[in-house]
Amino acid sequence: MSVKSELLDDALFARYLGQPAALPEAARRLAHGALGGKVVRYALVDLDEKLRFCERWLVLGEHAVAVVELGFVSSFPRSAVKAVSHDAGLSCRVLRLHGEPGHAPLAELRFTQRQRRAVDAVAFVLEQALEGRTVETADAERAYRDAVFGPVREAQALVAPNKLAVVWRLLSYLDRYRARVALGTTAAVAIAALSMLPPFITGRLVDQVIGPVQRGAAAAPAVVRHAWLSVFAMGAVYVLRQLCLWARLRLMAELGELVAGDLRDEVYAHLHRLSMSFFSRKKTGSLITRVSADTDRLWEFLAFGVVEVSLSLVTLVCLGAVLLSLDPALGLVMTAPVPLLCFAIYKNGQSMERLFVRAWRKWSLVTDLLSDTIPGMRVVKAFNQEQHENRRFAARNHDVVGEFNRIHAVWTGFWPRLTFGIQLTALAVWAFALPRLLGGHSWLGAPLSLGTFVSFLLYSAMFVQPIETVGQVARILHRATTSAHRVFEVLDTKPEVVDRADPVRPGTLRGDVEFRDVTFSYDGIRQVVRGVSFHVQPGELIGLVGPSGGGKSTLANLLTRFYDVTGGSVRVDGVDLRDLDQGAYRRQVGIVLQDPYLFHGSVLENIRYGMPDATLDQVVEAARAANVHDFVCKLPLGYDTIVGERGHTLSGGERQRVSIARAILRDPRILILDEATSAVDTETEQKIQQAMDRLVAGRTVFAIAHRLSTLHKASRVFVIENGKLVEQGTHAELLALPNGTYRKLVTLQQELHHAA
Amino acid sequence: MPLENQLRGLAFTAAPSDVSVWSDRSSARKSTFLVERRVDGRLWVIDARGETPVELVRCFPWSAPARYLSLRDADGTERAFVSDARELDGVSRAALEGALSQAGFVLDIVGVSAVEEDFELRTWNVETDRGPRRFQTPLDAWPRELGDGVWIIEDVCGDSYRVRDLTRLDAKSRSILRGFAG
Ligand SMILES: Nc1ncnc2c1ncn2[C@@H]1O[C@H](COP(=O)(O)OP(=O)(O)OP(=O)(O)O)[C@@H](O)[C@H]1O
Ligand SMILES: [Mg+2]
Repeated sequence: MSVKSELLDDALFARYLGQPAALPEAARRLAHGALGGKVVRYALVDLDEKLRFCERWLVLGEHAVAVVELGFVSSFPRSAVKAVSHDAGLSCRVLRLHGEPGHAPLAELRFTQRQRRAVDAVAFVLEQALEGRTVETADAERAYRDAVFGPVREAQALVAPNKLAVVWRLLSYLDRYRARVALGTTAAVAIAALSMLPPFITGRLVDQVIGPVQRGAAAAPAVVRHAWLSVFAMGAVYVLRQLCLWARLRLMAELGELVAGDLRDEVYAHLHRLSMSFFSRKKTGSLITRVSADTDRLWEFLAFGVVEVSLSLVTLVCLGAVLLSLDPALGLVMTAPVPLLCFAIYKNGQSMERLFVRAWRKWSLVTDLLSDTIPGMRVVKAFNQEQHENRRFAARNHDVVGEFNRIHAVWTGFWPRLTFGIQLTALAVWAFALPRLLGGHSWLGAPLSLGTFVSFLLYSAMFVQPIETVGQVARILHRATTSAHRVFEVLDTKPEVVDRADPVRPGTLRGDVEFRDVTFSYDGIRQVVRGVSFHVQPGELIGLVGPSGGGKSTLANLLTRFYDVTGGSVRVDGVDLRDLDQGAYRRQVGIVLQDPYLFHGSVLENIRYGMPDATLDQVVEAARAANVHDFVCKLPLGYDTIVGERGHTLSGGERQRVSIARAILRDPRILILDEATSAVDTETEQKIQQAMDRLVAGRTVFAIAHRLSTLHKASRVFVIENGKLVEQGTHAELLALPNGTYRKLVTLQQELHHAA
Repeated sequence: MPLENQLRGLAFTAAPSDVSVWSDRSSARKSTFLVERRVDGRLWVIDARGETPVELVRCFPWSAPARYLSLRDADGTERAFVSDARELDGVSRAALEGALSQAGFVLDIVGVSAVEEDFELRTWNVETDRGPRRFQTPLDAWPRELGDGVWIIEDVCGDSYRVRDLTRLDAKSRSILRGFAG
């Protein structure tokens, strides 16, 4: 690990967890002494016997275990550990390392959930050793950091240094459109500059034309031309300004759209590169908003936010400069309160924040209820809970109304006060200007011409809008950076299942599948697959059976490489899956999922999903094989019938059959059927069975089934229980095992069958 | 036997005054097992089948912390079920109570010094009864109300933090918590 990322880790540990980012030097020295060698794993143990915080370290060496605390160390050889036990609790877990039965444990360690992954990693090595397996334990430092920091990282995949960095990164997306940005910015600056002209011209008109004429000091005809010229100039300025405004709006709006479009493409494409584990970690809804709502917000920011904010700043500076140069004293009266007003808006925004958090929380309770009950309407009705749901909703709704009204009370009080503040400034201008307008010299300055004063008044009106915008910069930036961060987080997530640099591109697979001592865990805590080994010859039909939750679907996930194994290896045709090109491999693997998913589209499109260029002949053939053809013919539009969002208009069994057809059409070398026939009746099952018999010829098939009758043709049956392969053999062989699980399952099912 | 007949059979065997199959008969039941904490630190269940080390699982850690306890062996099979510790003998009860207090351990928040929002995460700096602690929750996860002013905050690692009584915290903590609880 590089020095830089280590420093980053140290900073993150301190910032997020406030615990050491590595085994402290002193403890390490002690442990080294006690272990007589390398440290292979370690963990912080943060609770003592009385459940007070403490800093104890559990350190695993190659041959011994040590517990270190405050200069004390105790240790025992690894071979002394005969058993390991755990206690679960809300915030306190216990790990015991047992020696001889009937004796006090060698170590009894209490720790909070935060240390759990690290402690369990130590325990895992010991537990595996008890079963005669060794675990790879490279890089103890890395393992500790990942274990402790993992949950934080999962909640926030991208740890951004600060908000500004995110804004810069967002702005870097403008790079491709440099010309457009330059034009838009020029137009924006032109608008600011042009806006300064009309009040100036008006002032001059008053001083040089209207004033003298009314006083009779100038002959009308001579100045009338001058006057009309001024009006005409103002007209020209307005036209020019509107042109610039149009150019700016159009350019920037389109620019924002282009960038948001780029981001959407990039995020969507990246989502498809990510591994399945990412999708089980993140809520679907949150991923959808990242591609849709968040990029939309970024459009808003790029199209308007950026320009609006910088334009307002420029305008404020220009205004200040013009006012100060027109009349320094009066200019100062006008400009001095501006920073104050901006600050007031900022402060108000800050104090509203807390109210908003509260309101959002209440609001999320309402939306949670909606997204809960509307899809679950059937259950609500079935249990007759409409009244209850209505009451629940009314209560939450009432809360929300209260919270938002509290917010309205605050801001409605604020804006009039702010406007009044601006008006006070205007009054101050009057107060300072009046003596000079009326009576020549005063201590306030030289006499003031009417024209200058009129310009002043017009300029002062221009202050209001930029002040509002600048006051809200914090909020605008906050919104944009949050959205940008959510988008970048997806972009920066690295897929966990990646091809190695130079993957093997398989030709046509033979279908030889081998699992070598495979272990796997979804979450790094619970082992779902534990030391599974088997070897399947090409063309075999393997039945996978066993209790629910045993790990059958997980084995299928590993075989399709939706996930990478945690230990051991999966080999196809003798090559480790991790060395194979994912795309080329998956093209030859067909899978019918336990929960078949149909896309919104026609039956035809769904069947052709994996092979868009299949001919209609092939489609019909596959459909016949999966027993889809007959029911599709009864649909109003045959194969062109649209099946709803999730294929809702089809029954469960029909959906399963369509997904079987989809898999068959691809003509895969390895076919995985995960409970593919669980939702069909016996007759259909028989038909699928027959089709399958034809289909199975020449490919390797893994069929997961609860209904054992499905498996009478299987060349071998594997019984998976609790993540282990407990029995394997032909139907007859397994039945012959006197106390076999399979035998039990078969007998039970037969009894049920006879009872019915 | 068809299911319907079986059910009818059940109804007939029930006592006349106690027709409901679901009635609470726990008070009538006397436990047929012992629980003890042994020198190896583990809980053991001793019953007719023998002696087994077990792990304590609380069925309702928040709704009924001290009742409905399932004692499970290393394979996760239930060896004993205690709906109410009062039905046990004194020794078993004492053993369970010790295990319960450990299983129910959470950090009690006695003060909140700051809550900072970061991208996706909210970082809490709190003072607990065991000392200062810093932890994170996802931005879209909120504290959970248990009633009687008790609030529970669960962090990203799975640790629980409890506010025993919102109204008894100091003014500053309460004002910080206003957005999140109550
Ligand atoms: N995405 C996941 N993340 C975490 N744990 C998972 C995930 N998928 C499954 N599990 C867990 O892994 C274990 C094995 O699940 P699996 O789906 O492989 O069982 P199965 O044998 O297919 O069961 P069934 O017959 O009910 O389909 C289960 O305990 C399950 O809770
Ligand atoms: Mg399954």
